[in-house]
Amino acid sequence: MNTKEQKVEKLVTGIAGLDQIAGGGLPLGRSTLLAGTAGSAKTVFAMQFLIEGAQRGQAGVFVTFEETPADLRKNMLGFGWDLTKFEAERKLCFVDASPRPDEERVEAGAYDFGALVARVEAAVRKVDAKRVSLDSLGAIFVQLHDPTTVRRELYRLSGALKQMGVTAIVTSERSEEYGPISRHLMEEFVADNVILVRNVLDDEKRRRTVEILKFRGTDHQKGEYPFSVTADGVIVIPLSAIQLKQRSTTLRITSGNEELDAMCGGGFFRDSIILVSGATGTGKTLMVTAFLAGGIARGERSLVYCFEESREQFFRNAAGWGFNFEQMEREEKLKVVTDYPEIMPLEDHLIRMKRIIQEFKPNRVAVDSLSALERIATERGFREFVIGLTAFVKHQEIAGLFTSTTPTLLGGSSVTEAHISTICDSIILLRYVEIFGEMRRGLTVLKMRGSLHDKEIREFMIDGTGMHVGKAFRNVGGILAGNPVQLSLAPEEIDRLRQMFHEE
Amino acid sequence: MAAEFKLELYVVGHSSNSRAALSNLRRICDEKLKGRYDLQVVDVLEQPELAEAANVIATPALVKRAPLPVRMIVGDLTQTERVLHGLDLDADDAEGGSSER
Repeated sequence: MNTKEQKVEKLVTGIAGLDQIAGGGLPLGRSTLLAGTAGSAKTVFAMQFLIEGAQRGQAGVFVTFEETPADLRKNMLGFGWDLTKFEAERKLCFVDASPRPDEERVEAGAYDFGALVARVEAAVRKVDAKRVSLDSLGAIFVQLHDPTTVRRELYRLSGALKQMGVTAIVTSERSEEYGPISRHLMEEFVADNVILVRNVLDDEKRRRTVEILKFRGTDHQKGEYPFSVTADGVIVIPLSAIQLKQRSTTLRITSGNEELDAMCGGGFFRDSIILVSGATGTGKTLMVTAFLAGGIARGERSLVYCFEESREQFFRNAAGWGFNFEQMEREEKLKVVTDYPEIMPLEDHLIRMKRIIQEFKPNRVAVDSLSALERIATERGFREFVIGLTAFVKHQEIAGLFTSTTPTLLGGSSVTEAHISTICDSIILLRYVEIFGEMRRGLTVLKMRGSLHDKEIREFMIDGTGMHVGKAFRNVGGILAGNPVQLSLAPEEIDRLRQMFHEE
Repeated sequence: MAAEFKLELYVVGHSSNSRAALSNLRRICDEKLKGRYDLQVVDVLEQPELAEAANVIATPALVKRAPLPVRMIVGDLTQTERVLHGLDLDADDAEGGSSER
């Protein structure tokens, strides 16, 4: 039997998102080093690993070298984890190797970790544990002062853990986010399975990420993934690792406006992501309103996240266009979620938005606007958020409409668009057009993946009954560039120009 | 009369470190603490719960329960000066008096 061909099996941890990026879970029956700087949430991960196991009928042993079991019991209550209950049910057992306050220790000769190994073995036997967490290596080095011996004995310990058949997480300190793996050069542990957790300060904002550096003998996703420490523990956000089982559908849904549907070749696709971009006042919120109402009118459920206006304002505007959103919300056909973007980090917004989608189960979702969320994150964080949200929405086969605000009144593109234009299936641009001393509005469907669409820039009107799409702007050029000018081309010239870009 | 020194030695089966510690300890006790000590030897493989209670991580480990303060001396006890220091005994302490026990 060729052992090289045997892949190491995985143990499903149960930690949301981690199993996806870990290719199924942690290497079964092995130790994985979890290294991170101070405050990077290592202990929470290590404890959650055991809690998720306990909830799946797998008992665990927590070996603590730093915090006392009493402190851990108290601190973990904040995540809703009642450690005392798990201990009573023999699903959790502590090995307390934390320093006792009145303990004095002197070293007087060669030593080994025989007692520690014996204690861990006894605890594993006592509850028939399948999972072990050791927190943390650094604290061992603080308590015992011969690094050579400690390293050798930790290697023995990892061998003993393997003998016990348990899957273990061993936490360790790092001094830098992007430097050496561990402060203690733990080659023995480092050789096999390593996960890094980071808490990076980037442009005045904190970003928590987890990276599976290596798994010996088995696969995993590469690179850093954001995670959040929530009231329920750690949640990892898998982003592009999400299994995109997107069946492409040809089913069409309404935009809420018949003329716009016609411009789009019949409407949006059921599972598409649509970006509506325009300067302030060009009618994005109205388009969102029509999108939501159009769905509801056809028996769908609609959900909107409003980061630009208050609920009252949103309802009032909708009522002004003839839509009774308060009634629709009462009838549970609509859900309106409003917030200041600043109240929580972007990762937490994503988790919350996903949770609401899972609970409310809408057919269509709108976000007004993405630009409001862009303010509170770094460029990278924002891109990850957009990928995470759009992938999730597509996976649920929900249509998503997102608005983005262009920085100048007459056009140009925003940074938001630079990030997400490739992710979107459809892009609709709204622009001001200056003609004859008046500001009018223009609308065009820039992109419609998988469908023919109208290439014209049409006039877009807003009145008391909502939005209307009118005729194309003839004799005007440079609208999208933000510099509309009257052209005095002969109609034949205009036709010829249009033919040049006609794709049939 | 209760012994002045209450000592516990935690060993791992019959490992070479453990045997060395035991023999070194007996020698030190005979030289410095004759008749003044009470020694209990605990094999952590047989009684891990006692190791847990005493928070023994590294072995061998000598715990001085009395006289206070409680102190743990870790290792095979070949470094005699360190052991004596840990037991609060001077290197040239005179032998204890009175009869053998």
